[in-house]
Amino acid sequence: MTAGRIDQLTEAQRACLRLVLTHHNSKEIAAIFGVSPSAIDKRIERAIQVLGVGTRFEAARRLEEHERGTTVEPVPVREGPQSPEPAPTYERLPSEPIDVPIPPSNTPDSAQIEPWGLVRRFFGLSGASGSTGVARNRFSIGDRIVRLIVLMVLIAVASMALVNMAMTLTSLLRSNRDRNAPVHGAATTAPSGRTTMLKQRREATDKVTVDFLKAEAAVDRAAMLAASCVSTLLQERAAANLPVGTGVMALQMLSQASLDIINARQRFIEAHRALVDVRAEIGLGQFYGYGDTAECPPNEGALRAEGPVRLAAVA
Amino acid sequence: MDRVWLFYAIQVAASGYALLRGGAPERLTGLALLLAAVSTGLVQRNVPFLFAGLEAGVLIVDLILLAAMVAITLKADRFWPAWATALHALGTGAHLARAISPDVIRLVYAVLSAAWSYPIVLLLVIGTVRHSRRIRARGWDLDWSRQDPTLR
Repeated sequence: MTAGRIDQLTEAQRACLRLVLTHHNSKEIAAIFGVSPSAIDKRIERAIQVLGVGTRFEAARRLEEHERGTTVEPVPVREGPQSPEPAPTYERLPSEPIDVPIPPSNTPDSAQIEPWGLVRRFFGLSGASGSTGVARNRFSIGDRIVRLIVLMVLIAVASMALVNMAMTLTSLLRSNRDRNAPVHGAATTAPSGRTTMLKQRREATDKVTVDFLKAEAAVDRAAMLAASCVSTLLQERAAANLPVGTGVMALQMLSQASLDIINARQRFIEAHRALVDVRAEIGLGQFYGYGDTAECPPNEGALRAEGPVRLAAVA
Repeated sequence: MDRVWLFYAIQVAASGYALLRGGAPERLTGLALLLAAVSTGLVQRNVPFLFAGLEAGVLIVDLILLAAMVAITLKADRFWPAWATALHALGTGAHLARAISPDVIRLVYAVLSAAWSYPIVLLLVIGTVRHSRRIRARGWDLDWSRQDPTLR
């Protein structure tokens, strides 16, 4: 629809509009053509009237689009009587020109306008944020690497010093406490040096623990096998189509034995707790609270509450 | 195990705050830390064997995170990523210590590779708070330092 009107433009008007498009003002255009600025203004004014647009820049864009041969009409323009305020025909920028970083969830449309816009914005690469500002961290990359290494050394030394201090204080306090109250249960009164004594005790409990855990596991397995034997007996009788009365005596004895084994297992669980108490009693509790070897499951109390029905491995 | 879930809660809260209010370095670090925490939970082995040998899966996750954090430290217009990266590098060093001397006991290995996470999360929160304060005070905050000397 504007193509016909653009045809009505004179060549002089077109030349002016082309210069408008390259951001020349009237004075500069006038200097190029060697005429007065007011003549240029008048010429552009006439072109605007011919095209029926609001501003000279809009007219220049129209002409440029026409000359490129694009037929798309990107901006809907009000026809007819011209409103004093022309419709804003500027393209919206995909990102805010002001440098406020907007959280990416707020701007779903930017992803549609600009491909990868959301990702670029997430990575802070859209160039909009703080384009006028001065960097706070003015270290070069090499300086930053040096700073990083220095910080690592600093933190390592500081934290090791802290751990060392804590350990020194702990051992100081502990020896102090030992001197003040040497009786820590009946067994600690032994005259030998505390370290070697602790070592012996630790070895002793280690041996006991290993054997106890083996026995505990064996009883657990025995309970499992006995119970499954009972169930196999019942299943096989039914499968072989034997009368119900077959092997009643054997079944009864077998289930009694299975019950006994389960009772024995219960005893072992109690003994487990008692052994833990023994450890604490002879002053080895602190060595085994670390969870380093994980022989005593932390949910050991819960295991007991569930009772002997549960046939999971204890250790 | 409560401690583990507590850490996850802290991590999710801090990362969410950084993603909502932080600039690009905070957002990236928050996302990277969150992903690393989740994938460490996925790759590590069952608790009875945990930290008994070298934790290869955890080591790989830690190394990837370390690379990302070093890159952020070198480019970001911030000072806190240097601290966080130094802390995390020390945590990654725990794997090295374990590989060199296998008699590092399990608890020490576990503590050495996990204890640094808390100050890192704290640094992330502090960085985000300072960033949003600068935004409020000046209206802008640079995400990445310019390496162009004329524009500094």
